Amino acid sequence: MDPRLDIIGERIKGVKRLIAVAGGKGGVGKSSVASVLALKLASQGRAVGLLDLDFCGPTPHLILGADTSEFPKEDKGVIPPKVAGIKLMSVAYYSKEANPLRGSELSNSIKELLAVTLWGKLDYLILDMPPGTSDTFLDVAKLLKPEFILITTPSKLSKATVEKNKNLIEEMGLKVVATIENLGKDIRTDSSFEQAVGSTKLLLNTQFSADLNKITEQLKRNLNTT
Amino acid sequence: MHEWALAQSVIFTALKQRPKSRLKITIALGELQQVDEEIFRLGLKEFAKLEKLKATFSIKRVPAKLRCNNCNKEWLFSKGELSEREAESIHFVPELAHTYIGCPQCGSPDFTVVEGRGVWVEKIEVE
Ligand SMILES: Nc1ncnc2c1ncn2[C@@H]1O[C@H](COP(=O)(O)OP(=O)(O)OP(=O)(O)O)[C@@H](O)[C@H]1O
Ligand SMILES: [Mg+2]
Ligand SMILES: [Zn+2]
Repeated sequence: MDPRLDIIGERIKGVKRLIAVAGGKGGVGKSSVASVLALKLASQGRAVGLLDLDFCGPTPHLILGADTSEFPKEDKGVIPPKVAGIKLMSVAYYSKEANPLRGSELSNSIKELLAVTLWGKLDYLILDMPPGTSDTFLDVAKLLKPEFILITTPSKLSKATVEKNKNLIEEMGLKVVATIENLGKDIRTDSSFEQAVGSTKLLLNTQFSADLNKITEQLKRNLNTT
Repeated sequence: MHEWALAQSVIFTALKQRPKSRLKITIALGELQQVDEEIFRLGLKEFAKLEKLKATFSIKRVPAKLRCNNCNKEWLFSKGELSEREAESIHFVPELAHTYIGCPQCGSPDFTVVEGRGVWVEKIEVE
């Protein structure tokens, strides 16, 4: 028996809304949206966690400029360190190198982090997903049953893929709260974004951040904050 | 300590199985995760008390057997040349063995942990 599976529910029981930022294609802005969304919610007084589930290409710590030089503190579990008010958990604290992991190993590492991370009380736990509907996606759907925000670009290929993702998620009985077109009609291409990466102050003042106002407000509705 | 979190998960598994009776729980500790057995036992005891679970624990340590997917070489994990930080990282996420260890024969990071990964509940019996 895998004891980790029995404690995951306990670890996230203080979380009001679990939101996975996902999408079938790579490089469409999932991590940027997940990180800046977490930042906006936190800057507006919400209790926010951000869990980086892209073990083979972790980036939220880079976007937010988190200090990963030390291991997270422990107290009968692992306490996610805070960056600009966000509780950030990432494999980046434990590895500065490429992690060559097969699917079953990804699955195992995700269960491990979920079993030992103590999130406490949160209004939102945002999950930064790797692209696609492989092991990580399936584990998250099964173990966490989050709501989804899907990210696409204006590309026909990306849109077609995300449309299929949406159907799949809904067939699994889960909810897609929004599909966001990045580098297009919902979030415009922001030439200042790259420069803002690594600074939470600069990020909050970008056009990219302003373009996330609508989804931020949507998420803030119907939630009694902690 | 993180051992406490692992111990707590075992107690949750036991509670789910047969909460009413006195239990004998057999736990395998895979060497890859390098669990501190003393702290882990303390965690088991404390969380069992907290959850009002009557149980005894039998813990066995399982050497971590690794097999290379590239050349099929089998070997046993040892902390050997790992730095303290690397070993500690594997303690938190055992899969990071792939980041820090290579096959002793061909160097490949593509290996399978055949057994001895981490914490596993082998048996829950009524005493
Ligand atoms: N609206 C935008 N304006 C300018 N640059 C952007 C915008 N959206 C994303 N980017 C840039 O595009 C790159 C890819 O973004 P990001 O890493 O967030 O994508 P991703 O979907 O998480 O990628 P992956 O699939 O690899 O996880 C980054 O360099 C990011 O800074
Ligand atoms: Mg990403
Ligand atoms: Zn080999």
